[in-house]
Formats: sequence, C-alpha cells, structure tokens
Amino acid sequence: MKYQDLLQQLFGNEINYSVDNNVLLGDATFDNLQFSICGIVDAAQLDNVMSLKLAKFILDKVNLDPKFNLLIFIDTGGQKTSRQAELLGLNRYFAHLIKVIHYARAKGARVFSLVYGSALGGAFIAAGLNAEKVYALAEAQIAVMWLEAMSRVTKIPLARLEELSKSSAIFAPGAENFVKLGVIDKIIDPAAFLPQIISDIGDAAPLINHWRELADVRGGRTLANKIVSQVINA
Amino acid sequence: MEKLQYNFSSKTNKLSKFGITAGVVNSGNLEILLEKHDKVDEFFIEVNTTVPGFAAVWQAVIGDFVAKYAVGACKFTINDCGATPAIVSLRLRQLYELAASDNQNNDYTNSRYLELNARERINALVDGGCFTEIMPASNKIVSPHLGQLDLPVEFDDGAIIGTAKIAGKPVYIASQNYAFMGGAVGEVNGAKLSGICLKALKDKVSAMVFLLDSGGVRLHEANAGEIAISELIAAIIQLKLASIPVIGIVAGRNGAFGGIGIVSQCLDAIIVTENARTSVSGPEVIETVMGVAEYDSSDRALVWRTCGGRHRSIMGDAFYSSKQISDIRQKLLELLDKPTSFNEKNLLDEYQLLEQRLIDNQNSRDGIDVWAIAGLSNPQQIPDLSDSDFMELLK
Repeated sequence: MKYQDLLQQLFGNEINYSVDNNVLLGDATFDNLQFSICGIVDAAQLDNVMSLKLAKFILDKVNLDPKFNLLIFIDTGGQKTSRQAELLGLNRYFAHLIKVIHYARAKGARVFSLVYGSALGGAFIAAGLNAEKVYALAEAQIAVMWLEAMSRVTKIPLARLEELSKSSAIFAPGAENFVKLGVIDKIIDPAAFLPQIISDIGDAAPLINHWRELADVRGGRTLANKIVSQVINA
Repeated sequence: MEKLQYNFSSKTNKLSKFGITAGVVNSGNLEILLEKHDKVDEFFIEVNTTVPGFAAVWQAVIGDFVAKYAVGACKFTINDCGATPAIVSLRLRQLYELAASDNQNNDYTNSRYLELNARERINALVDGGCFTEIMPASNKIVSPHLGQLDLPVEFDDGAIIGTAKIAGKPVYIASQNYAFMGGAVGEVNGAKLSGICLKALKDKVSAMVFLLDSGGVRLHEANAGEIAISELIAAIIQLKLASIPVIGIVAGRNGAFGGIGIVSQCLDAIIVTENARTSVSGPEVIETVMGVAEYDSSDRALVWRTCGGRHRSIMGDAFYSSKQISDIRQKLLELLDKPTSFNEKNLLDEYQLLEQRLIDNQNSRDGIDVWAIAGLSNPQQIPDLSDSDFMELLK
C-alpha cells in the first residue's frame, strides 16, 4: 500500500506531513487525539542520515512534551548496504535511534508501529521493533532475509527451505510468522488500526514488551520465555 | 543426523568434574560432555553425528580410548560435526585429562584473548575462580530448530552466562562462542543473553559485561534470532535506565556484526582491539549486493580501515586496548568505575556528534579520509603503528 493512500485512509484531512529522503514526518489527529507520525516510505534502505532525522524528530517531541503519542510507519528494504554508510558507523546511527525511541517511552510517550510494506533485517530492529506494540497490514512483507539469499548463505537447498517454511515460523518470511513468534500483536486492517491504538492507549504502557509470553502462548517460540524466567530466577 | 549409543565395561574412575565439556561444534570438530553414569563398572557413550554410516569406525575409536583409560561410572555425550577419527581420539583424551587434573588453570597471563574460547575469556577477565555459570552445558538446553536442518547442536547453544567479580566488584557477564555457528543469535542463546540482563536488573548488580563475538542473527532460525536481539536491546535499555553500566568487549575473531553490531552501540561503552571489526552489514554482504567496486571484501587492509578497531576508536565509537589480557581487564575496570547516564542531554550530545560526523565526512570514502578530518597527522601510517604508539596518538 502506498503511504499516501494509507495516511489518507487513516486520517483523512486531519494530517500534516512531509516526506523528504524517504523519511515521513508529521502530525495528525484522530478521535480528538493528537499523534506524532514518522516512518520510512517506498521500501527505502535505512541509512545514517535517515536514522538521524527520525531520532531528531522524536527527541524534539520529547523536549516539547514527553507525554505524546507516536506512530511509526514501516516500509523499508533493510539497512543501507554501502561501504560509506558502514565507514561512518551505521550501527551507531541505528543504536542512537533505538535509544531515542526507548527513552521517549521511558519518559511517558506511547509508541506504536505499523508495518504497511516491507520490514527487512537490521532496519526493522532499528525502527519498528522498539514500539510498545507492533502491528502489520495483511500485505506486509516481513523477513530477516529472503529465502533465496538465505539458501546461498546457509548452503541449504532452496527447495528444502521452502518445504520447511510451510511448517516452521522460525525462519520463513511472512507477517503471520511474526505474529506467531509474539512480536506482531496482530495483522490488522487499515480501518481498524487507529481504533485499536486508541484502545491500547487506554491501557497502561508496558515498560518492557511481552513478546516472549505471547510467543509461548501462540506456540511460535516454545523455549525463549522459559529460559528467560529460569535465568532470572537462577 | 544419526544417534549411536555404546556401552563398554570399564574400571570405575574417580572423576569428579561432572558437567564439563571439551571441544567445540564446528566443521570437522565436536564437543563432548561428561556426566555421571549410574553403573560403576560401565562406560556409556552417546554420539550425535551429522555424518551417518560410520558406526563401526566410532566403535573402534571409542574402544581404543576405553582400553587405555578407566572410565567406569562415566557418561560421555558427543555432538559431532564431521570430526575425523584422529580428532575424536584427541577430544576423548582431552576431556578425560581435563576431568582428571587438579589443575584449575587460572593463569591467563600469557594467553591471547583471540585464541581463548568463550568460557576461558570470562575466566581470564574476572577474579580467579569466581565465575559461576548459569544454565551451563550440563543442562543441555539446546536449539530446538537446528535438528530439522540436519545441523548439530551445542549444549550451551553458543552463549555462556553467569555471575562473577572483577576486582571484587560483583558483575554479571555473558560471552558469545564464535566457534559455534559464528556466535550467531538464535532463540535459545538469545534468551540466555536477555535473561542474564534481566537478572542483573532484578538483582541490582553493579555492572553487566558482554564479551561479544558474533555475526548477528543465526539465519537458520532467523526470525527468532532477530526478535531475540530486539528483546536483548530492550533489556539493555532497562539496565541503562536503572544506571547499571553495561560494558562490552569486541576483541574476538568474528567481531560484532548485524544485530550484534547494533547491540554493541547500545551499550554504555565497548572496548576494542586492533583485530576487532564491527558494522551492521559485513564486507562480504555489501560486496555481494553492490559489487566488488563498492567493497572488495578480500582487501583486508580496506576492511580494517572501514570497520576495524582502530577506526572505531578514532571516531569515538569505542575505547581502544592492546591485545594483552591485562590491558583489556584494566580498561574494563576503568569503564566499570565510570558513572553512566542515559538522559536527554547525552542523547542530544550523541545526536550532535553524529550529525557533525556526517557534515564533516560527506566526501570521506576511506578510513584515511576520516582520520585526516579528525586531525590526525600522517593518517595513512595509522594501520602500521604499534599499539602503544597508536594509543599515544589517541591521547
């Protein structure tokens, strides 16, 4: 789904936003509630400049009023694969953005993300996965890496990986798999997204996410939650 | 995968170090775990191997070993990844000698961090003999996902966690095993790493130390690995919010790449050595995607000028240490004593530093360009300097 159509559908005319260098920034209103909105558009690869832009937008909001609502819209083809990006420390730019999002949450911001296009690899870790809840549209393409590339790297035949994908949520791309693994709360229709967020804001903000518990309940990760609990209480 | 089991009659042994392991699970190698067996005059051994059809060879090699050593009342379990008979014999003897010796081998003075395994690195850095492992190999909590891909498991899934003291100060510590699947993160080892952070939070320990050595997400369980890294980051942030210092060391073989490269920069500080490399995408990945003209991953000097320890410390993304264990430990002590803060001011400071870096380096294509802009004289000579000269230059 194009971001223009999505935002139009979500907010109608109650929105002001700009897109520059594939970074979306703006403000919107729904049901008399103010939202700051930011995100990545057109499946762009997330780079140093974009990460910094997103971080600054959020830092400024925290400075203005730490109790704000933030929606992060994700459509990214992964991290920028470039020597210069890495030369200048792409990992620190990503980490900076991550720290800023979590800091905003600690200060009282309510942060939600919606994968409306692709969410690949490190860029998903840097942006989408730091929200208190993550949602995805049915058409979302979520993967660490596509199976062809995975087959090249792991030397496991593609046919074998495709076969296993049918029964295992553990490595195969797909939004449904990420639901099962506890990280995506649910697959949602655009029309239901904002009412869902309003309802989430009505609940207390979780300080730390509950993905592991969800993964346990949904059967996607059977050991993670047990191991963490066991280690905490060792 | 094939599972083989053998019983041999053997004299009782007085071994007492149950739960220890020898070897590592990677290509042409294996790991063996020693446990107690309930029959005193019997030796029981189980072999899990990726190479089926060699039962007779296994029996002969193990038979040779049992003929030479008294191992009654012992159980060995092997996770094999295609080791040759010579390697199998070597590992069997190694485990026996390890279990039979009184030598604690706590002297790491002349060891090289790079060559130590994940557990030895912890022991080399913490106060002698005070590391207590949580969820060790003997618990056998292994990856539930590797088997379906016919891949061998390792009993600690490549992550060693536990409690220790450094110069008397209680710390919790985690160490990644670069030799097992490149130290990459999957469901089990990722949960161990998050777990130890959350335990540190609960127990209000004075610091958390990470010995990072990983290529990032374990592709064989990619989704679970990616999520585990995100959960780990969330746990690290909780420690930062609680003002518990989280210090990392990147001085191993694989460095810190992918999600672990991101994790390294979420910590309060990392210590690097000359051989360290850290990035999001590795050179091979960028070369594959963008072509050799963009990044020639076989040009080692270029790789180190792009993501090596010296480059990262010149930029201010890491603290530099020589390869000496005593130096790494000294740096770690200094950082553990430094108060940390996670607030709006230091996020703004970091923002400004990162923004300035982009402005200054619009035309930088090589580490040498970056170092020149940072004001270092003779930047092209930096890779050739001795550690002590380089550290002098950093002042």
